[in-house]
Amino acid sequence: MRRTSGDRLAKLTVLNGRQIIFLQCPKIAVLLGDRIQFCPQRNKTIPSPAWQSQVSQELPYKHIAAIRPDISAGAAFPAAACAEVCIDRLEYPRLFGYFTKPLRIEKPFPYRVDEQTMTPWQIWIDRGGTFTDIVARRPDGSLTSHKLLSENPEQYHDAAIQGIRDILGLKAAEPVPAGLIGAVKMGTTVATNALLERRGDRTLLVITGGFGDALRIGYQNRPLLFARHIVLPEMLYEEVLEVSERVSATGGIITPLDEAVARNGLRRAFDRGIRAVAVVLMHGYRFPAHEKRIASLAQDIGFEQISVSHRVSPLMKLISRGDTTVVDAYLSPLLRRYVEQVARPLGNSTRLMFMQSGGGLTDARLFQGKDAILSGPAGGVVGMVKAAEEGGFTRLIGFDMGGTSTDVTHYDGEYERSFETVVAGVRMQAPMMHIHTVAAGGGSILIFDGARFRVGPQSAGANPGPACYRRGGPLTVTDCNVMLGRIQPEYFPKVFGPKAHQPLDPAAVKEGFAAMAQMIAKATDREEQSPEAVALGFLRIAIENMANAIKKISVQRGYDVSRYTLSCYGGAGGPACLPGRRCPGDEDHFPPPPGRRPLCLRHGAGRYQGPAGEASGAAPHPGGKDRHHRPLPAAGRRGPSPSACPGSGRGADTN
Amino acid sequence: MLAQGVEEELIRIEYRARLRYQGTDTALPVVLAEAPEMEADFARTHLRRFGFAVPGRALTVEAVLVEAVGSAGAASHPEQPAGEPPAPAPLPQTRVAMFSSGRRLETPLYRRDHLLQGQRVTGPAIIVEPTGTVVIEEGWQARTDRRGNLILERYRERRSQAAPTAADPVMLEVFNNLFMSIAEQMGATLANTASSVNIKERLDFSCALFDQSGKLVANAPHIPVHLGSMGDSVRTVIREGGAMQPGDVFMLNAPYNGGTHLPDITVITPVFADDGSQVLFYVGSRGHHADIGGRTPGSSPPDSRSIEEEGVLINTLLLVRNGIFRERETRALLASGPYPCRNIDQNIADLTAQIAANASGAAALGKIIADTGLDAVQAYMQHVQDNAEESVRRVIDVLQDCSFTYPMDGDRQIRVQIQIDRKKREAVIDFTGTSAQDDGNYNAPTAICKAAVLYVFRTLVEDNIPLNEGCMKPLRLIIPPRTMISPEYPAAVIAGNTEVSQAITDALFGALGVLASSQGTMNNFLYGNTAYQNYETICGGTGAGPGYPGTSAVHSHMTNTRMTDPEVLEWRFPVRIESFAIRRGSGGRGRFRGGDGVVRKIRFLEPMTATILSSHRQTEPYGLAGGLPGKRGENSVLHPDGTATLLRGNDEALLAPDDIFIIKTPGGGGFGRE
Repeated sequence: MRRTSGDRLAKLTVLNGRQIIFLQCPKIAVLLGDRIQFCPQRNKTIPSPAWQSQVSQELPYKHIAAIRPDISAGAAFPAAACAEVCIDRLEYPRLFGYFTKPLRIEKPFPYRVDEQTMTPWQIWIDRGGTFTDIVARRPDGSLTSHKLLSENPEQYHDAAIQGIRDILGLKAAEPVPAGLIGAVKMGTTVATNALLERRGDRTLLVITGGFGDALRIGYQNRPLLFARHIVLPEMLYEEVLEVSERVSATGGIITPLDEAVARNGLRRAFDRGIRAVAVVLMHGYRFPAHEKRIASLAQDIGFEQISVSHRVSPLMKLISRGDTTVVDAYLSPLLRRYVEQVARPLGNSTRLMFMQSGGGLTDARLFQGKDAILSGPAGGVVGMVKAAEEGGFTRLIGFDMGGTSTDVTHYDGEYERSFETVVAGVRMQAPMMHIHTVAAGGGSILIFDGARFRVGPQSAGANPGPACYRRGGPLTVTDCNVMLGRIQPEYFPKVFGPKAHQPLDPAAVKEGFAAMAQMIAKATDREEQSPEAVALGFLRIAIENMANAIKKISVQRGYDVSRYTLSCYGGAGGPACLPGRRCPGDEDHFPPPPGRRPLCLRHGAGRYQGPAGEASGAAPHPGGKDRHHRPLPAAGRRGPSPSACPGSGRGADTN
Repeated sequence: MLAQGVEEELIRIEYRARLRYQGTDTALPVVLAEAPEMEADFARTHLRRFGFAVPGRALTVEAVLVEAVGSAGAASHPEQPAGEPPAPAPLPQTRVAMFSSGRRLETPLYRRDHLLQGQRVTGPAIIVEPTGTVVIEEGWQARTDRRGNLILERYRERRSQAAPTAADPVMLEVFNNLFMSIAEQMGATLANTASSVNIKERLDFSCALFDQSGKLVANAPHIPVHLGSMGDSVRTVIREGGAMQPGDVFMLNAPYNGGTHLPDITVITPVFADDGSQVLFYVGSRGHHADIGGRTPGSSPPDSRSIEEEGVLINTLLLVRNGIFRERETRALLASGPYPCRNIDQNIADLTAQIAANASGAAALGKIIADTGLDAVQAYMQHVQDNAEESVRRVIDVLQDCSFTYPMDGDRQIRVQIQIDRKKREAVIDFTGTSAQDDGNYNAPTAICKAAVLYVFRTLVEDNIPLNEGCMKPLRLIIPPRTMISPEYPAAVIAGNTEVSQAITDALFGALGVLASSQGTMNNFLYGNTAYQNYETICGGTGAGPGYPGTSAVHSHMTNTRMTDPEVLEWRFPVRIESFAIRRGSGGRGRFRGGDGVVRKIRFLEPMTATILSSHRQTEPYGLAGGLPGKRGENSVLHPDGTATLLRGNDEALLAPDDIFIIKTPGGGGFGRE
């Protein structure tokens, strides 16, 4: 909040709460959520909704110094009170000029908010790998959004908490006032990233004798058919303890549990500093006595995380149940620390919930490693479905195109779940949203191999990122969009260059494509193409690849894609997919409102992937301080009301 | 849920059961109800999803799912009031230069937050917002609905445009991916509609697309032994199929003219021009049928000496004429010979699925022709082959002449000599010196040899090149007649697919000097009695290469089939897995070590017959560049009294309860002097 000296300020009067500003000028303005909009029309009547498109000026809330101390950003405006809002004359000379003659409009504005709907703040957060996005509903029902870097150690400890502080207008050390926030609902890729980078806790695997290598051997297949050097995913556990015990498939005890051996083994691992243990025994899903006994031994010794297979995933199949149990032991401690980091500053009065892989929210205390892997993408799917259903679309292909990868989902009235999925080389046996991921996105690298144009699968990632990011990166799909003018640097955040304030670099893009055009002409012995033609060619391939990915989840599984609506909600979806040349079943391409907002609205986990969006045209804008207004609330409608919503607070249990 | 603070009346509890047909792995969820209801529900779902149901087949409840759904407070997106029709056309923020349809156009740019409900933006246009950009293409219109959603609709029909026929680097990639996607789509249709576990779940099949002369254009194999192996079968049909008509479908499995082994049945459909005047393309699918007759169930007798013992031999049979399935003739053939098929209904069901897969491929091709024109499709079928050919030639450019003799158990050998013709950019791969046709079943039909060569060159390319006939063009194979890799009727061939194929691969790698020997076998282990039969292949070590070690306990080269989960195995069969562990120290030493094999110990709980078909029990998997060989494998039976019986590489054993069959698989060779 900034205060400026009086002589530079123009006074505006805010009447009747927060909806209308009666200006001392022949202009009409409306306070919409977090910004003031001015209507340029010179008539003195209430403007029709159509005037919005004619808006000539608008003013983000942050540039308004509310001088009445009881009207601070984030706080509810006192009902029916007049407030004065001041505008900085130096920053907005043109606006300032309007405010000459007082004007009062007595007719009540149709859009008002009933005081009865006043509720505490509701906050939805998606913590991605690069960016954290927040949508908040103010006590008055209006909405705001915010975006910040997920990691910025110099500035803040935790992005979610910092984002909440930003929105509430709290200073760094100021505690979050108790009772101010009703609930925080969160989707996070913390677990996914920890799994990908193998950053979980040191874990001991306890398994039936003779099966110490079972999870390592797995189903004995290799991931890449044509690789001479076969690289298998790294195991998550640090040590294996084979215990002497055996139960038959029908529950007969072949070998009783040797408790002494088990106890000693556990103790030795504990003494070496291991605190997480996964217990997986043959046929334990059905005959759990030995697993239970080992869990209790581990508890006595003092293990802090004990994941037992019959509880984590009570289904047949040693290998996938085993992997799932190990993941749970490996990630749960880290997740607990993360939950604690978010929960502590919020205090007890705020309810904290997390999105699970299956698409349901769960209480933070019950959030476990095995259910956290797809927390981010699952929230995206749930939100996409809700937004599309609100728009009247029920058969959907969800299309979440990011920087390095694209997630495709199929929806036909029910969420599709998989019960066995391989994530980051780990066989997971837990209900998860069925998501088909292809390694292609805005950051996919363009290659000319001497005869063919190729797109990906390698990605430029967030660093160096595409060529236009000013870090010497390779040409990518995003660069095609810049080359073709589909992405306009002027309308893209200016966060590039060493000081993070420069726009995208179209010159580097043009240079890159010109060089490639030359190379192509030389290799094919043909006339040199324009750089635009080269970019168009690559873009076409990227689009065809996406179309083929969509076929995989639809046509190949027997669904007639021409009866579906494509719902785009990834950062890169806008410019990349919508050319629609051959998107199968391109009846409607349907991206939800700005920045996938409705998904955030309903389910918190508004999912903007980090490098994903960043590397693309429709990127969530890095460092985005921009905020945008919402459409006017419905006349006579009581503003947003909490509505029952399947999918929220959903917990799946299996027995 | 209650503990999480959800009010009781807001909690809804859903019960579902995951059911599957007994003996299959494909579970589908149904609402939990009385058995007949669930059965009907399952049949409906199965029919919708896979196109068939098997009334009366036993169902297994795999799991019961209970889901508690609580409704948490959620915000709804505010709805805008209905606009005052008609909404005025929006005013663009500005105009910018955008390149589309081959030219630079002044394109309007709108701010999304300025768009009103009902306003339409006609493409080409750009809509920007703080968090993204949406491009509206020509022929499309965008509008904002009452909740601020942006909805894009095509308002003008897409014009289909004949693609040019000259090779263009963009269209080359587009067609490459399209052809590949057709092959994959055929595969998906086959996996979906097949009823046998082998095809549906183990994915032991491949589908492919061929040009007018039967040359492979694209194929999507799941296991390398199927690589590029169908072209000869298509050419056999062209040669022997007689006068083809629209509505014809053929099948064959003969190993001597393009086939691999009898269980692999190939179904080929010619695709005719609209006027029926000529064949334009062929589509084909090859599936491994669980049983095709023969002396033992599963059609893999370990000691067969002639093809009759391995099942029903099908040369070219007209399977469908005028679109009508010739079921009577087909059944008669499958029931013929000294060892007819055991489950003909199953064969018929899988054949029907193969016909359906071909039909889906033909339909997808038709769509592309409608879109881009027949000339372009035919031209690009050639271009993609030329492109693959060039990729292989580039590998050949950097190869040197080389040769290798690969000793196999039983005094057999694969001899290979690779000669590079720099000028022609060709490689001659000469197998002269390879052992003569085997009296037993260690014979690999030529198609398998081709697949092995293609596999090796594909690994050398180290890039995702299309696998089609073009790859074979610069590779000239010399295979003398009547060797173990060019068997003639009536030679038995069942070990060719699994054992000889691995040997050919390792021989080629040895000659090229780029990879030490893998375990060089698939360790085929079959066991059963009248009530049960099971078949598994067992992993081992892979060879080390220049700069990297081998990998332990993983399938190598021509196979990649999965091992059944131990709990599932023990649930289905009267056996107990005593251990399945890495055989430490079995990989060859060297600067880079070979991967270790495994030790698999299975205890039998009922009397059974077990058969093992394995290699490298006498010879060691070779090391390279001074690296030492991997350890030989070993097969034995441990009896309850503590005595053991050592078995040969190919052997059979009668097992009593509590006998333990122990298979130690070979390690891979090391690379470089330690």
